[in-house]
Amino acid sequence: MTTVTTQARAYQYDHTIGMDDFAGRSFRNLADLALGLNEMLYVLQRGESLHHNVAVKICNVGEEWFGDFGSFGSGPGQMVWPAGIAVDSAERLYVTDEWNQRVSVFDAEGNLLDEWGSSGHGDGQLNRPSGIAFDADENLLIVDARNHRVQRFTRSGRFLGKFGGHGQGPGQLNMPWGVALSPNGEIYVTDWRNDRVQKFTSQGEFILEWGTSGSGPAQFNRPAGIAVDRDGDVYVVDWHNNRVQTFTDDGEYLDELIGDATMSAWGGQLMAANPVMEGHRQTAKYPEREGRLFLPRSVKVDGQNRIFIVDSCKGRLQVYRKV
Amino acid sequence: MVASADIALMAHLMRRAGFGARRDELEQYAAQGYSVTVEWLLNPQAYDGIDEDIVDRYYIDIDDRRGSDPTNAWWLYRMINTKSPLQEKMALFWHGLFATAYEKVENGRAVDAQIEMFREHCLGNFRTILLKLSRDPAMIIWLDNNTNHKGAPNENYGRELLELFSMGVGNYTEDDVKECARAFTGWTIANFNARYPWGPFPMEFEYRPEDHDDAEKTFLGHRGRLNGEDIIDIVVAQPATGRFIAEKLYNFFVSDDPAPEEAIETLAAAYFDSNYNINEVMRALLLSDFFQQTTFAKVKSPAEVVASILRLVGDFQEPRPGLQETTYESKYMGQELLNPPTVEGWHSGKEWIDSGSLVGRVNFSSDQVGNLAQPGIRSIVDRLRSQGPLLSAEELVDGCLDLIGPLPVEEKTRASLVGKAKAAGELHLETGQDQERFARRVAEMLQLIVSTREFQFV
Repeated sequence: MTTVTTQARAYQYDHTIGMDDFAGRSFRNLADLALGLNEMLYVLQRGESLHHNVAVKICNVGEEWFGDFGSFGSGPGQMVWPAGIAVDSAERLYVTDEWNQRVSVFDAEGNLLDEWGSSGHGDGQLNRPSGIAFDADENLLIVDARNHRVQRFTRSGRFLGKFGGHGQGPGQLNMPWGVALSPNGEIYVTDWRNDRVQKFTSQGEFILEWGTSGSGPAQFNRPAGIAVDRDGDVYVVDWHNNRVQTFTDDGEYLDELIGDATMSAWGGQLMAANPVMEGHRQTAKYPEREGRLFLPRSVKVDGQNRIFIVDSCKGRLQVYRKV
Repeated sequence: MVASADIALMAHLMRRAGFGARRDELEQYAAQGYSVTVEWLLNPQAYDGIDEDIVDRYYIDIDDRRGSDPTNAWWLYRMINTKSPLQEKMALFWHGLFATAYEKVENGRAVDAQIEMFREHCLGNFRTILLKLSRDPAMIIWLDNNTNHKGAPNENYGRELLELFSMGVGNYTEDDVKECARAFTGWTIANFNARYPWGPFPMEFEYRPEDHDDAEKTFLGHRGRLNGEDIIDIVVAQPATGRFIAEKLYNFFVSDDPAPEEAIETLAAAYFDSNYNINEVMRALLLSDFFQQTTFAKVKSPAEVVASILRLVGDFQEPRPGLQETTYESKYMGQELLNPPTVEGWHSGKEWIDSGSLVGRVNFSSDQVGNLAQPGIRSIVDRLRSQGPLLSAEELVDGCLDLIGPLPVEEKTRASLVGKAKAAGELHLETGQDQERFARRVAEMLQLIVSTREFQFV
């Protein structure tokens, strides 16, 4: 079991959830994850263009499978390019869709409760909404990527405010992706095409920024999802560098997590039932590569400081624990 | 004002050395001149106009590239949007010559890596290309070199290297094939089968010295403890290889007809004079009279049909749903990229056309050019509108033929198109209703033009 220690932080690998497949109890091309009550996980699957296998897949941290819901399209409750998912205190799920330019609201069983949003660049309109998170008042912060801004809405979709704007200067954004809030209510945004993270007050005023393009410490190759733990440490998915970097709340680099996946319960069952597959797996050269992250897109941290990395193109979640 | 002959020549160059160009692009290229444009084509810039990060962000399965469909979609997106068109066209050439099929490789990332290798080395040295090919995991699986062992050689790769990839039959013996295969023993890959439960392990070339037959061999008159690299050194220097490359490039870029001796000699000379540099061979080809004078002498391949039409109409300039489905159009017309029917690749020329594939070509092209929401079609309408306020049937036909090509057609074809235009009534541009009707009439004329025999040629 891998343990990474740095500046009084240690990250211990906990376990792996899921396996890769295109249908059923499995994950394929994951976009995001929401952490529900009672260890529930709502895994947002973007799937494959030709199979139209978009879905919200439901399991728990212990890898129990509860089914999935979702269908491809632009009708009520359907999804084309689902990008972000958040869950409120009543276990309602809010899903952004970058093609349908809207937010769909479901209950935990997948029944459509509400749907709002329209395409455009005016206040409250959306152009490829991606990251989504709740603030302390349970209003929604939504990254409005192609409008290069973050917008705030009530849960029923009433526009409350916005910040950002296209550019490279402080407080400006270029196709942002992820959004997360600290325990103090400060807002972190991954400024995707500027390869940096920006920190804002709860009202959207610029505080600080960090990051440059590259693959070294505190450098990014298109930062995607972002999360903050209960101590205020920040976790940034460094998408095309295949890692998650961790930082203090003032942007000081701490460490990186590159993936240490162990065999998941679902994967272990598949391999046990298919000895030929397992035999092939055992012949693999550089077996440690199996555990590495591959194009991760999102990260979430729960109240126990467990770090859930959405290992998108390997169809699994990698779970670390900050100890 | 750019002369129409210059536009026609530039359109010819861009059809052959790319996937066509819109009129504003042709005017820009023609203004800078033919030889300058050829140099631009031969020297792809570091930034080719493709924002891969944006493509990967929205097309998550292209980001993944697990199967052949996403890789195919990625390639089509590149063909439509690249600012280095010859690079993509050359990659298509090498893919047809070194035809490797996903159906056997079953690893989308390995197939993608092969096409990326073609992209990177497409205009480089032929020795480098053959060496990279011999170490390419997808090729090693495709032609079974991973089962080519010391003491138990598998001749598949060695044979095709000589027959289909470099010299052609009649230029070597069966003994040469056997010795060639022995030289490539031990050239294999790691991680062929390991793929569950989280997708395939990355495959990579692996040289296993213990499995390599290091004993003496005799190949094409050369004797020694020859390894694969030595074989490639010998192969690229053969006169037959220079002629082989010349013929293949001629048939892909110039004409479906057999290459005349003079053209072969010109291209083979460029090959040997430059120490096997493909860039120099292509320079000689694109600047030659035989290239510039041989227009509309090739039947468009299905990949060319799809990419050139989408480029013309301006679709998929940004990611939107439907790209992978669109790659299937080429398959329906008889060419599924990344899945050639055999190691010989596709039979081209007139064999692209049968009654089924022709209907597929016409339907696809007609649907696209008939869509007035496409920016490329709006642009054609706007250009023709600027010739108003009144357009005759002849002016409509000639204007559409010009802006979709320029496309020369036989007189009977033109007469038929003019007849259709006349039957639909006069064209006015005075009122808003006139404008709408005019746009529809232009789109309908374009639909008729893409249905002609002449439009099937490139």
